[in-house]
Amino acid sequence: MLKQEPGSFRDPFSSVFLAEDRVYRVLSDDGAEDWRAYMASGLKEKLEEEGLVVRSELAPASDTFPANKSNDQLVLCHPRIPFVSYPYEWCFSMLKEAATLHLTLIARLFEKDLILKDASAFNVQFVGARRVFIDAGSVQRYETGMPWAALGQFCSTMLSPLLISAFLKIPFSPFLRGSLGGMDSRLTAKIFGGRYWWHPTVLKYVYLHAFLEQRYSHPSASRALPAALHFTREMLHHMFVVLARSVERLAFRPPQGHWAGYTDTRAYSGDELAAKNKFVSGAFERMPRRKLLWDLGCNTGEFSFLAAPFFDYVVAMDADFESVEMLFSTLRRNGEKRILPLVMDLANPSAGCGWNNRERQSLFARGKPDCLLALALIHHLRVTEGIPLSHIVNFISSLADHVIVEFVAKDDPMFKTLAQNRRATYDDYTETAFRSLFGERCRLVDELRLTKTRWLMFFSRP
Amino acid sequence: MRRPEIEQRHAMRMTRYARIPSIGWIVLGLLLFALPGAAHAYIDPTVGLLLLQMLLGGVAAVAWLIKSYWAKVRTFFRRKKSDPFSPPER
Repeated sequence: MLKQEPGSFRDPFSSVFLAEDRVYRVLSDDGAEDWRAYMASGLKEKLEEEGLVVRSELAPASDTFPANKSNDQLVLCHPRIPFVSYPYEWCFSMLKEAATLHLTLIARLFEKDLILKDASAFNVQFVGARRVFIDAGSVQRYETGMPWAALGQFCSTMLSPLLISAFLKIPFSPFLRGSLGGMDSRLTAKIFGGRYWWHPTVLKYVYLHAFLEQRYSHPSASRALPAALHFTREMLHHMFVVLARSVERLAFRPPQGHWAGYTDTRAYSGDELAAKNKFVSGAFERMPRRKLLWDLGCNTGEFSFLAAPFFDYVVAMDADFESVEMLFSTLRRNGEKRILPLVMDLANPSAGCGWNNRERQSLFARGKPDCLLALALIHHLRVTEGIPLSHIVNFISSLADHVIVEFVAKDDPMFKTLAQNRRATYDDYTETAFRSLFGERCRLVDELRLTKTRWLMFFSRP
Repeated sequence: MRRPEIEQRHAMRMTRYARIPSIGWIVLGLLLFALPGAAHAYIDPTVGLLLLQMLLGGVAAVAWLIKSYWAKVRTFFRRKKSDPFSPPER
């Protein structure tokens, strides 16, 4: 069953169709010319081998592809990405890798008189912690004298969000989620509000950028000017070099995180932790289908690592930007390709957005997990987010066939810490109520009382 | 009112700058008239962004030029110091 990728319609030279196990890209005549130039440069094989660009080959003639049959358009096919993610779900280092990848590709392509026609962070995906550029249709022949048309897109979807995080310690996710086009230069300048004016990157890409955009924003602003400007190759080359160096230097150094230190301060003895690991692994072994696992409230990903050998792919989610940052750097060091870390607030998970609300898919539309891991998560949703227990159980039990949950009772020290200074009594939140609510929907397969106040339960849907 | 000698000095300075080699291509680049607009593009940069690129590209290229000249000067002097085959200075 072939369907058009709902997020791919802006580029008239390449459109994308999704099949069960692969992705097809149909190129227009102009797009095909660019593709041939890219092939002739000899770069395609190299970039794919280095894992920078997604593999693409000509679709075999045997593939029944309507667009291919009606006219002689060039059709490419790519492997599918295990789980699609979006820039507003990434931590700082993930977005930085996307930016660095763009600049690396441009440096390599520009040597062969090629360039990227767009520079949207959405053109990068992650397989585990490995970034890959997925828009092979973005490679274009460079026309002498022309500027880089996508610099604005690069700034708004990657550079500006990175700058506000690196300099002002502001997580970029809300901005990128709020506007798929990214951050306008004038918005960025307002957020910076005059600070760091002395920093060359901020001065150039925030203040100067915003000033010029403001100054020449009126539609009548000298339309003759663009045609009168001639860009030499050297100018663009040196701009790219300086930009790459600036991005390389950006770093996110948060104050000691709230949850990041959680693993160390947790109220478990070594024996209890071993028992917890054993229970969880035992539950994994009893599941018949082990393709996708979601680790909700993954913290620094301890149990995602435990799950990775059992599942094809693990998506580890946490609302805390810093925890995900830590997890990503661990994954990057390990070269792990089966765990995808995402910043996700479960009380407000990614929704469908963009054109027709379908351009970017909601979290739930991107794949159904076989198993859900929700360890010490429910009391956070109950207390911090104020969601009634019945709603939480409804939500969790509807997502997957198998659920492993850790229930933290009201007299647990962690619960008390969370609930202090709150006047609510959480009367609905009891172990008995939890069991009966889950029991209405699932079967309790196994359980373990970890401590006096904590239970591990493994539920399966009949 | 400008005195003629100042005018003359100013003109001399101008010609001196103009004589520095290789600055030429940047100046040319800045002033040359481009080819007609691109045929196959779907993103159009704003005027502000064009100017930003022009400035940043120009500045980066000039900085690189100065650096490479400076490197040339340095290697010239270093070679002079350490080259064992150079004739001894009198």
